[in-house]
Order: sequence, then C-alpha cells, then structure tokens
Amino acid sequence: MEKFKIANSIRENKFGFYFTLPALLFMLFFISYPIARTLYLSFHTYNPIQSNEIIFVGLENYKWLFNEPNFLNSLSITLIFTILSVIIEAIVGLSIALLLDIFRSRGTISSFISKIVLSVFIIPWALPGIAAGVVWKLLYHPTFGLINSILGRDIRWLSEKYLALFSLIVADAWKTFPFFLIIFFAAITSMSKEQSEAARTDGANWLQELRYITLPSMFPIIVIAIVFRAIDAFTKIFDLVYILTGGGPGRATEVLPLLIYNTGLRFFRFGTASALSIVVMLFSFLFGIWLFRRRR
Amino acid sequence: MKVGGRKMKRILTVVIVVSMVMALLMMLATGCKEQADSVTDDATVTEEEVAEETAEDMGEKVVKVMHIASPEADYVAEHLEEFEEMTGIKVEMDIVPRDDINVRYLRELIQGIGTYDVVGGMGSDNYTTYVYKGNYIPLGDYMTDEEVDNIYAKDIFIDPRTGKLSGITQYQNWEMLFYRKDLLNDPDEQAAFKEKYDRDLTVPKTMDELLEVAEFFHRPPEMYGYFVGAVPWSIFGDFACAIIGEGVNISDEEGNLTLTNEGVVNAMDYVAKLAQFGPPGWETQSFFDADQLMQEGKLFMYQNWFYIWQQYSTEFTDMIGVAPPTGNVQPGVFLSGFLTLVPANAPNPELGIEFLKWFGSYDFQKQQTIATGNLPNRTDVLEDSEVVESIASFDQYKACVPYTGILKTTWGNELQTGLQEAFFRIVNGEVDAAGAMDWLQNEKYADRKAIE
Repeated sequence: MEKFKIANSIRENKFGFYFTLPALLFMLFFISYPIARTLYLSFHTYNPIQSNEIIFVGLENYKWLFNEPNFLNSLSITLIFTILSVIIEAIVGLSIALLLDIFRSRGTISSFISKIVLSVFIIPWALPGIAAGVVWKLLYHPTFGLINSILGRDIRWLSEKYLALFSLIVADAWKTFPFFLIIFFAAITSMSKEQSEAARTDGANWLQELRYITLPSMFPIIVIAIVFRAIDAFTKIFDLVYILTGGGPGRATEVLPLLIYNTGLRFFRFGTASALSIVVMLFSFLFGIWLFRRRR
Repeated sequence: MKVGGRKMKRILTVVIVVSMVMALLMMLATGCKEQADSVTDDATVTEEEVAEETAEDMGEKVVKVMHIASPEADYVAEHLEEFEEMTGIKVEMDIVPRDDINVRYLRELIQGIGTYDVVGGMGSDNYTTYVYKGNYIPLGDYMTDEEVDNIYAKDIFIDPRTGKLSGITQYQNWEMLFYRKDLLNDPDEQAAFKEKYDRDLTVPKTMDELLEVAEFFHRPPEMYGYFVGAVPWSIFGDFACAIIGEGVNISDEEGNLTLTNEGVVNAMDYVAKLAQFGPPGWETQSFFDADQLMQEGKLFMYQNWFYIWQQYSTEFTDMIGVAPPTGNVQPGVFLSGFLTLVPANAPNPELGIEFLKWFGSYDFQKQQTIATGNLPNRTDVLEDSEVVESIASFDQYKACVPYTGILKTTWGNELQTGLQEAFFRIVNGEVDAAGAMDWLQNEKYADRKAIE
C-alpha cells in the first residue's frame, strides 16, 4: 500500500521529482559514499606510511577507542563544551532577543534602531572561525592581552586546564550566540500578539507573560535551535580550538574533531580516525534523537 | 487549509530556488577562490598561468612544483624567472598551507598520485618518513660523488634502501640560543651571579649552566629566565636539541625506539625543569610568542631558528646575542630546512631534477643565504667570503655544523604529541622524567618501532 502511495506521489509530482533528481543523486553520492568509505575503513587498519595494505581488523579500532584515555578525555571535554556553550549561547541569545523586542515595540525609530543593533550582533557569527580565533588569542594573551591589561592581572586564560576550556566556551559563545538571537527574535516577532494583550488586560506582568505565554509558544523553536546547535558544537568545533589552544595545555582542550584531525591527517592512522568519526556521528545522531524526544 | 497549503508550496519553491542559486554562487566562488589560491592572487599571475598552459599545449617544458606556505617559498617564487631564463623551463608553483601539507606529501610520495615534479617544504620531523619510506627518484643518481660530499649532514638524506642521496634541502638551519647580551655582560649582574653560583656568568654551554642562568635572570613579571613553548611542534624542537645535545637519539641502529635511554630521560628532565622559568601562558605558546617577549625586554634567553637573527642582529645589535644551542655532550644542533624530492611518479621527472640542481647550485645557495640569513646546504658556499660577511656572528653558526642531527623516526608528528603528553605528566607532578619516558616507551608506544 505504502509502495503505491510513493509511486502515485511521484507520478503526480513528476515535474518536481525530475527537478530534485540531480540534487538527490548528488546527495546520495557525496554524502553516502564518504560515510560508507569511513565505515569500511573503521573496520580496517590503514596507515600508508607503514604499508599500502588495508587490513581487516573487525572491531579492533572500536575496542581500542574505548580503552584509549585520550578518546574518553576528548569525549568528556566535547560534551562539557557542547552543553555549556549551547546553554550560554541560548540564554544570551534569548535575553537579547527579548530586549530587542521590548525596544522594538516602542515606536518606529526604536524599531529601526533595534534592526541595526540586530545586524551588528550578527557580525561575530559572520566572522570566519580562524579570524575570530586570532582575535581572541590576542585578547587572552597573558602578557600583552587586552583582557589582562584591563583587569591588571596575569591570568593564564589558555594555559590552566579548566580555565582554558572556559575561555574556549566564552569565545565560542561570543561567536555563535547570534544564531540563537536571530532565530529567537524571528520567533518572538512572528508570535500572535492577541494572547499577550489578553494576558496584560488580565493584569499579567512582563515576567508572567514571558513565563506563561512567550516561552511556551517558542518552545518548539527553542528545542530545534538547541538540537541544531548542539550537534554543530559537538561535531564541528575545530577552528577556534585549533587556533586558541591547539588542544592544550597538554590535551586539556582536545575536542573530538581535533582528535580526529590529528589521528587521521597528522598521524595517518586512517582506520582509527574513521572509527572515531563513526562514533562521533552516532553520538550526535543519538543526541539529536534524545533531544527531539524530550520536545514531545 | 487549501490556501495555506498553496502558500506553503509557494514559500517552499522560493526557498528551494534561492538555495539552488546560493549553492551555484558558492560553487562558483569556491572555484574562483581555488584558482586564486594557486601561487599568488594578482592578475599578472593569471596571465602567467594562461601563458604556462599555452606553453604546455605548444610542447614547451613546464615543471610543477609544490611548496609549503612560508617566507622561504616566497623567496623561491620571486626567483623563478632566473631558473626559467637559464633553462627555458616554465615553472608552475603551488604554495600549500601548512595544515594541508602533510596529506599532500603522503599523496605524492607514498601513494604516488603524480601531480608534481618537485615536492618541497618538508621539515626535519618528516625527513626520516620520506627519505626512508617515500617513492622518489634519488637525486644522487644525477650528482657526482664530489657534489654529494659537498652537502654537509648528507647522511641524514641518504636512503638506506639504496644508499643514494634522496634529495636536497632548500637551505639548512637549526635552533640557536638567543640571549640578552647586555645583561650577561653587565658587571653588576656578573658579580651577583658569581656570588650566588660561585662561577663566572658566561653563555651557558651545558644544561646545568643553562638552568642556573635561567634561574638567575628569572625575575617575574619584569623578566622571565627561559622560554619553552609547549605547543607540540614548538616543544619538539626543545626536546630534539636537548636529546641531540646528550649525544643520543630516540632510535637505535635497528630502528628500535629508545626513549628510556639515560640521555633521552635526562633531556626530558632538563626541558621540564626549564619550563618553570617561562612566562605565563607558555603551556599553549610557541617560539613565535617568545620573539615578542624578547623584543619587549621581558625574556632573558630562548632557543629559536635562524629566521629571527636578521632582525635581532640589525635592530637589537647591543641587546641580543647568539650562541650555539646548549648540550651536555655536544651542542644540541637540531637540523631542519625544507627537504625537496622528485616523486617517482612525477609527470616530468627530468624537469624536476633540473629544478633541484638549480636549487642546489652555488649561485642560488649563496644569494639565498645573503638574502634570508638561512644557511646554505653546501660546504663550499659556507666558505664564501661574501656569505661569511653577510651574517652577523657567522662563526657561532659555523661552529654548529659538525654536530647537526635529527630525531630518527618515521612517525615524527605522532611522537611530538606523545612527547608533549609525557612532558605535561612531569610538569603536573604525576611522574618523574624516567617514569614518563618509561610510560611512553612501554605503555603508550609499546610494540612500536621508531622506524616503522
């Protein structure tokens, strides 16, 4: 029955189907082939410097991973990084979106200014990660950095184990909170004002309005934004870490993408790096499913 | 509902069309960027590229060169015309960012994809990997014995599989000790030092002397005694100097890993002790950060490559001095300098050989040394009076030549990270140097050989 439905649907939307076919084929090849190849390599040993042979080792790479302290270290660092940075970014993004909304509703000029302010806030997000990393590295410099010179102290922002991770989270939050800001601001401005007006008529204050009307209405959007951003932070945080700490001090900030890069593209242990990539992919997949289920 | 559905469809159509247009634009932009990334980005080069393609079509000779993004590659790019005029061979040069270069070496020299006739820019952490394991055409086949003998430290570049010279370096350099000459020669400092350590204050030659001098001048936050930058590729230089200075290596004749030998353990111990005299933040910094500290007068001494001496010797003449790197048995002279090879699958290997011969020629080596301050790879150029006069304190450099060495392993990049990990275990007080090296040798890298 289901089969017929799909066939009918294709027949009915023939024109649209042909239009999307090239994109579908493109997706199939350029997404499925690398994943399949990575999966294949994850069950093999392949280090071209030692030998050109690709040797089947079954689950050895996976077994090795879960006994390797550096993997567990990176996994925990990446999880901490993801959770904290996403929470900070979401709170900052939501707060600014709410403030801009209040300001916007105060008249035409205020509305215009709020649009300009919103555009300015987008700048960090539009900056390339490498450029943002260089700027933050200069700001954090213990001897010549602006932050220490303002504070008048010699704080080792990038050299103490936990402080380095915190500094990375701050830099990442600065760069990425506009993602939440834009989404939340769009959500707030598109919300129906009737409920809010009714609540206000009934004597609700701003906080009550926020708690009982605005946030519940925004909840699905908040969850989707958090899921996207969490997966993004978990799997793609690389450039900032690479520039700011290089994974150091020691391996204190070696997030999973950096571990994969080092294992594969610097140490040429492609089998292990592939297993790592598959595990990270599965983690982010499961993480996404879990968050979506929480939404329900 | 129907109206809503239609509206939705319309929105979806707009979104899809906009996405497709955006994707197309991005693809075009990426294509343009890739083109612009090749060699340089001005319009003249585009014309040159067109000319090269035309030349190739017309049967003219074009040699394809890959190099690493660096001032040294820029120097070569600026002098390509000389080669082209001399040989009639056009040069197409790709300058590859450092983060991509390792994979490119692998593809050209191990997997043999055959894009380039010349592959250059390999630092000493890659020497053993590619000299011992790479697929290339030995340059030794095209040189006389005298020409090969003229290259100092040539043994490092001899392929054990064939006994032939693999290729040549564009230049040679190593880490030197840069120190505050003005303070070292200050009579008050000398007197205070003598009183504290019961010996004269001199440029340190052994590691114990280095520790004493670093300790004496460690006066934070005004000045720091020594700098060890703990980023893997930076600290690897400090380890290598200390290990070579102990007269040992990380590999024996059979290629076994020898991380637990006494000299290597001592070297690790010294580097860990020296780190305590560093400025705040050394844990995630490199020697580039030390350059700034030195110029600001906040650092007493550190080890760094030749590139910085041109600036110090001209702008800080009375303030900063240079000396051979320290070492307990010999100066810890850790050689490096962009090894260049002709891949076995090069499209035009004979042109690649021509290019390497130009690289190694007396004139190129001499002019490059005078212009950049990096030393030549040829002994005869080292004797040239113009070269000697062009580098301040040349005698200090030349004194190092007999001691040049490298750390022999085919997985240098991986070992760098392991050594850094062991180093932090010592610095954090988890183990002593012997324990850290034992962990590295018998646990982390158990069953591994230095030459794999």
